[in-house]
Amino acid sequence: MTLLAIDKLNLAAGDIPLVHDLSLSLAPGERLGLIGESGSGKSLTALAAIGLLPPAIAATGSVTLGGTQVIGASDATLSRLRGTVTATVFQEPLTALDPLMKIGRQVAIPLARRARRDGTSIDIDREVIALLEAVALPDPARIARAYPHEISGGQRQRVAIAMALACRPQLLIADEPTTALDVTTQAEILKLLDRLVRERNMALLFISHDLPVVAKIVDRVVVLQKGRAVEAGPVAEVFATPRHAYTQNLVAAARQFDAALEATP
Amino acid sequence: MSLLKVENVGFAYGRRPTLTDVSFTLEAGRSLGLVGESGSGKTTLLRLILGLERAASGRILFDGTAVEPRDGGFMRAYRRNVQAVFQDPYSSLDPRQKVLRIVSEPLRALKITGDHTAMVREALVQAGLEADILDRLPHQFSGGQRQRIAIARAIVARPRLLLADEAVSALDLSTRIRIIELFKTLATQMTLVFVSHDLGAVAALCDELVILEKGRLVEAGPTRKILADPQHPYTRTLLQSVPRMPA
Repeated sequence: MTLLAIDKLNLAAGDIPLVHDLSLSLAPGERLGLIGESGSGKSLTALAAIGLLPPAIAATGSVTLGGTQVIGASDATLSRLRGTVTATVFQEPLTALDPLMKIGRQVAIPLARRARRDGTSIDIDREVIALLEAVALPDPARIARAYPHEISGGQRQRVAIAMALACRPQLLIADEPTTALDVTTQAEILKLLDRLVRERNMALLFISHDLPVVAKIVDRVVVLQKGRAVEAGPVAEVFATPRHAYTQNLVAAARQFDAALEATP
Repeated sequence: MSLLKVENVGFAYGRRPTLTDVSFTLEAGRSLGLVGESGSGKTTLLRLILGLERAASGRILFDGTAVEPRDGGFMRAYRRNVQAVFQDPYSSLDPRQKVLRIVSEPLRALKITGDHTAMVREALVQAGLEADILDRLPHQFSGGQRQRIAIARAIVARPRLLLADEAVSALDLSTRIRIIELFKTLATQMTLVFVSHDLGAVAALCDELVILEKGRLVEAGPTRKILADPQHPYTRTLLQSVPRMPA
């Protein structure tokens, strides 16, 4: 079964085409990277996948999540899909979290929702701590009592990941989840995502402009340029022998920075 | 004599020390990368060098003279010698002003006489732009072109020291490479201090490195030497954390 199937997706703002005839699919447990520069349509594609497109953007084609059509779906349907099928981690953990609510309460919201959905009763406080532990936060009890501004950027992103995990989604969508982080923190978050996706047998749609970051975590990539998929395939293959001129440029630029770092005295 | 000398500089916002006992020198014509993560104090150090803040302890010497932010006369002369380019090309240009007015601003502020239009044209060409964009507005340009306009503004008064604060961080990969190439060319004509969290960009551009961690200088020296044989554990962690392309 396909978890996420995007078929001939077209997105446009008025007369301006933003994504053109995009098709891709993701099976349970698969990891796909969506790469491109600003304006390539990669984040819009992610929003289309979870039914969060701004009203001004018109979508045609088909997007199914767990077999349910997303385009044109009711809020109730979308609300059910976001959680059971998929959850999303965004770039900026500071804006993804409510600044006026303690971490523990924020993490409790999706947990309570899952309990209602499953008709089970759970010890929410204990589950909150367990989730914060799962994302390797130090001293989870203290973090649960803290407000977002009282913890670091890397810790905030771990909290956002914990909230995404709360509903036990089959597909995790991560939109530039490490772009706002320091390089050492980025390395830790990538390791964490890699482990969680593997342990929980989730599929991963990873969106990024950063080629080496994508290479670390996904198996396949789709390269987007100005809303069009110009190349797709196994990440090792695409980065080793890029066929499209645009991919070739991106790969060459990324390798140029690598080469600079490999300088010998 | 070194063009820039940072001597035992310390600074604190309130009680929290931001910089502690930082010292290094930069010879004229060299390019220096100031590298650190958030909270390392790199932007504060840049502000001190620019004279926007005054060091709480130690001093900063430019061409042998101490930078004194409270001395208006000194600062006017200093501004002519030291200019800066910032991270976000979208917020650093006034959206209502035309390119000519934006780029010629330092000439007016510094009361530099002469044919400003000709000087602006020359700076634009030096920054890799066409000379005939004088009447256009910032929104008509891409992010990379806007950063070139900001660079033209920084070099129009022919400073001796150019400071760049994360000046390529907001740019796409292919644009970033091209702007780094531009900085490389400029670095042959002036001294450059390039502040960045991006080790790859700094390695591609700078002769020398200063690595900051939590307000302290942990390692400094020639870029190639530090990359090949990092001495401090933090430098090693930093280098190992940079994701690389698969072989």
